[in-house]
Amino acid sequence: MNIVMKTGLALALSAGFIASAAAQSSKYKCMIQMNAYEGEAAYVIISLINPQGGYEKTLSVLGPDKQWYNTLKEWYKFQTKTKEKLHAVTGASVGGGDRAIKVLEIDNDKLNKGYKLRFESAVEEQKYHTTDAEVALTTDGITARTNGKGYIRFVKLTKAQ
Amino acid sequence: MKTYQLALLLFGLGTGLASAQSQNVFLSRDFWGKNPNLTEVKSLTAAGNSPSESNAASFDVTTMAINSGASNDIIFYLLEQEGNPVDKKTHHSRHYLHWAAANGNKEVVDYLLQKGADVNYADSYGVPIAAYAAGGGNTNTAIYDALFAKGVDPKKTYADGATLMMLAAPSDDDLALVKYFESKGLSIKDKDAHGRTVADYATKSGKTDLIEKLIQRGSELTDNALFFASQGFRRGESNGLATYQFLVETKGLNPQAISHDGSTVLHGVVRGGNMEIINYFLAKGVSVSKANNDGTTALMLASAGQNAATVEALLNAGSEVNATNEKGESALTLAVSNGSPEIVKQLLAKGADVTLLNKDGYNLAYYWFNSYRGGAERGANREGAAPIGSSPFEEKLTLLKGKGVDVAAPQTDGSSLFHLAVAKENIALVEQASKLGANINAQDNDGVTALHKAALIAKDDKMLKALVALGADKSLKTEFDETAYDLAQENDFLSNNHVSTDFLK
Repeated sequence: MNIVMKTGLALALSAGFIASAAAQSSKYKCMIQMNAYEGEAAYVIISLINPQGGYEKTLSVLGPDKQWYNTLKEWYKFQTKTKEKLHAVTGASVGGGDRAIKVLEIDNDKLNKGYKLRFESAVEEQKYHTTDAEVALTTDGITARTNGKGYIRFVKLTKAQ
Repeated sequence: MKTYQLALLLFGLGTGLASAQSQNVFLSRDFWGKNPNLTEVKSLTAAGNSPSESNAASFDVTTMAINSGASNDIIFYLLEQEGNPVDKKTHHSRHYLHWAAANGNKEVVDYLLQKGADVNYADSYGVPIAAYAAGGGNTNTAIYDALFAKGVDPKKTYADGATLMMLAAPSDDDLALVKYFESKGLSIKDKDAHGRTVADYATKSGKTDLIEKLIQRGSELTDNALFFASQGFRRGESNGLATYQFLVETKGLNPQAISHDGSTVLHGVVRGGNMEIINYFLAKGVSVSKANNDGTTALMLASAGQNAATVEALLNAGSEVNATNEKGESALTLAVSNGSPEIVKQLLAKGADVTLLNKDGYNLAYYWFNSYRGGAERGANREGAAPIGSSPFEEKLTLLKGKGVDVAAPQTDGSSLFHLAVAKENIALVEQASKLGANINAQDNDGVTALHKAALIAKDDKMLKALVALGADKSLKTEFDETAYDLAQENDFLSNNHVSTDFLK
């Protein structure tokens, strides 16, 4: 019995059960696969969008240089208003054909409540896409492969171990 | 404010960025310098020179014609050619209206407005037409009249809450623009979002008589003026010691002032490398180790340059050598990345930490390898730079190795120098990585090898074949169970270019 309980506990721990229950959030690996487009590397912003369609939180910034953030017009309005600290979630921009894999932390209570993940993209001297791709935060939708409309070919989330 | 400084710098560079290797005569700076006439332009177009091509920096033919002051009949001719619509995105996404307005070219501005050019359109720095014209030194009020007539609000504020009067102030020698913008509802007493005044903005120019005139007219001069002075105005016209002495000694500004972004005056003046100015402010007790809001110190800025004397002065004044910015970069990181080998040497002598990792876990070898510039290395012809036969890249390697850095060791995420070489799409760097003994089959945290990365982004088969020839294992799989062949099958650059990838099977 004791061994069974220990095994159960170990399994729960290894599944990240305790950690995520305590933090009320889960980690997802998010792959962004870009289209074969020509030009500079794209800046991509991943935002949590609330059920009213407004920005709630910036989850990831793919693009290191603040001076270009204004090109992601809609998100930039939110950013200049909230002045969220971004450096912890900021990384490299991503070029044509390439992919980026980011770990996103999403609160469990945002699931099945009308929240979405928005992938917004811009490339220097080219078109800006307010919503390149959008992933519905539903039990099934969150891990569905979602095609992009701009520089992004598709995004795919998987629950991190 | 950095935005405007850069915008101005780039504006000043203007046509100077023409790509030298271009065959198109219209993309040569010399061509426009010779003041050609319309007949010549037409016959050269007929001879096959494209009137709509752009150089590598996205300056197109029309932009170069506008910025070089070509006659308007040429500009109108170019604007009528296919490939030159009024909403064409040129350098930094600017429209022709940006260039024409900044140049004060009323006829071309009118032409563009008639063709429906958007007066509210902003470039990639977020600077719309009127602000760009004001910051670019346009003093022709007819341009502003035309923009206001199209609906631009004269009282609109721009980056950091600046008004057009502030942006135009450095060029407003006789206060004609102050009077003009006052008549449109702006005030000389306006302050921007950081409390900076019209006189502060004017200090960029270093014109003491202009500053005095603005003060007399009612603008206050604040400590912020010191930071504007360090920005400078036109290319090659940075302010000298006399400007700062005027501001500190005559006008009583505080040399130890801190700007809204947490910088000291030293942050602004170290890049210029003027030792007179740097020593002046050090003697005035400016805090040498002060980090700005991004964690950047004056030493970091100086270390990213080529001026060893500046770095030495800051180190001797007690600047903290191992401070890091919010990206986890130290002065040594920046020196390895962009500075001269001499500066790397100075920092190492002062005990700079060679084991530092940035916030993403990358070490100095990552920055060093990414600093590769091929044959056109920066600083190669400068005084104190590398002797012939040795490049800054190689010199820095010797310095890092001398301190025990193993450049071929994998990064925290498992990637090797090969990943960096592939990301830069540079086969010479792949050969470097091989020579240095990096592991060609290293897989990063996502199971991605250099060959996988190349299969994703390659536009031809050269890089892929080079990697295979050096022993890249074709059978390795990413964490999504993909081989390099699988990824290459999905690569549209390759399929569009009809490149066979069967050799990856």
